[in-house]
Amino acid sequence: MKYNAKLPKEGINTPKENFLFSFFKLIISLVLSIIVFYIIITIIINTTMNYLPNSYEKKLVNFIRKNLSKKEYKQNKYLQNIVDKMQKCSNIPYKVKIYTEDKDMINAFALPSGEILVTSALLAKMRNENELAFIVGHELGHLKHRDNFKDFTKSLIFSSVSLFLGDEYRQILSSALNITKSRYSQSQELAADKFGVDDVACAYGGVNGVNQFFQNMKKKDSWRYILADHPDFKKRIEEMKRHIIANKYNTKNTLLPIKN
Amino acid sequence: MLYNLIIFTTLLLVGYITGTLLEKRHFKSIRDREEQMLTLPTIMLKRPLDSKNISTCRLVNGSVVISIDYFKRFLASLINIFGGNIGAYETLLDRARREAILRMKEDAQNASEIINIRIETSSISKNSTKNVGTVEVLAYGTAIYR
Repeated sequence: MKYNAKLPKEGINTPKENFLFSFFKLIISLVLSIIVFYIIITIIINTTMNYLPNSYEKKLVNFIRKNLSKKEYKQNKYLQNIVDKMQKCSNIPYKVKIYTEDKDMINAFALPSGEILVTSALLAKMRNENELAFIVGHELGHLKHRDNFKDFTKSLIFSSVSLFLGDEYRQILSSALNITKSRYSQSQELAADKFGVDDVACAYGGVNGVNQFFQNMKKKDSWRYILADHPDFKKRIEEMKRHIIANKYNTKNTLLPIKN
Repeated sequence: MLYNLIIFTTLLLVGYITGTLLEKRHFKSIRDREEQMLTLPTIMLKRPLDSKNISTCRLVNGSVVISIDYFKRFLASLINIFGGNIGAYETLLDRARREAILRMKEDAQNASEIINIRIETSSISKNSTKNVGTVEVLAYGTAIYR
């Protein structure tokens, strides 16, 4: 037998593909899949939450309050009175509680437990009760639209998913979610704003202060943090103005001073 | 989050650039050495081509451990989600197999042929929590001296 010496043929065991092209193709597919998944989950959750009977909403709030509420927040009687006054016009099936937290960051949240949390820095910036009432009304709007449950359920689902993923995928997941989330939160925020205005008009007999609040927001950059989830700041103000004009709300009612 | 994303992108970029350069360089070296050692018959037959005049024989082996770069490892894990041919690992294994055979040939200097060659592949990072993507290839055979 004769030995036939030959060099191995190239390109048989190695692929001819461009790895960089494959990488981008797969990354785009992955991000798109996450976005589609997020949209489907959001539609399912939003529909379910919108049809959730009030009695279940109450039970859910009580359950979260019992198990997940943080106890270190402070209660404030004056703020609670504002919330109670505003809640009369908002038709939320449970008693909304308000708490304050000592923090330098100016912010307010509607918690999954059906509670509102405002930071001390935010309270310090308020010039009158009407402005404060608008903030409360905005957060009540989130509670009324059940955004607290919607966001809470979504974050539960996506945190559970990310538990099974590697570090790199967690990055991709959170980046893809941030892109999609901002779109959804923007519409949620606009709806909460409109609800806040309606609520203030109902409880205070007019929307004086709300307008100034928006002017104030425009001037100070520090206000932008409240708008963290809604990049289109100008659009929000315009929508509000349109809403006030369309509903012919009284803009000349008395401004109430803040009681300490 | 942005900080983590920057680290991740940097690792991918560094992995892609260095990985591609090292792979190209390795393939070039493999091709050059394959040409140099082409005259040494390497076969998988159990018996030598010519059984006469054999003075000695001995076991020769060549083993190599190669790790995949960060970029290719991530690309492979992406393909794991969608399915398909993991080309990124194919080049790694091709390099490792050819390098192991070359090292075995280097071990068999002045031999007239190497017979009964076997090649074994094993992943040495199989049970690690972090998927390292390192492969070991061992090539061994019997070197015949005349």
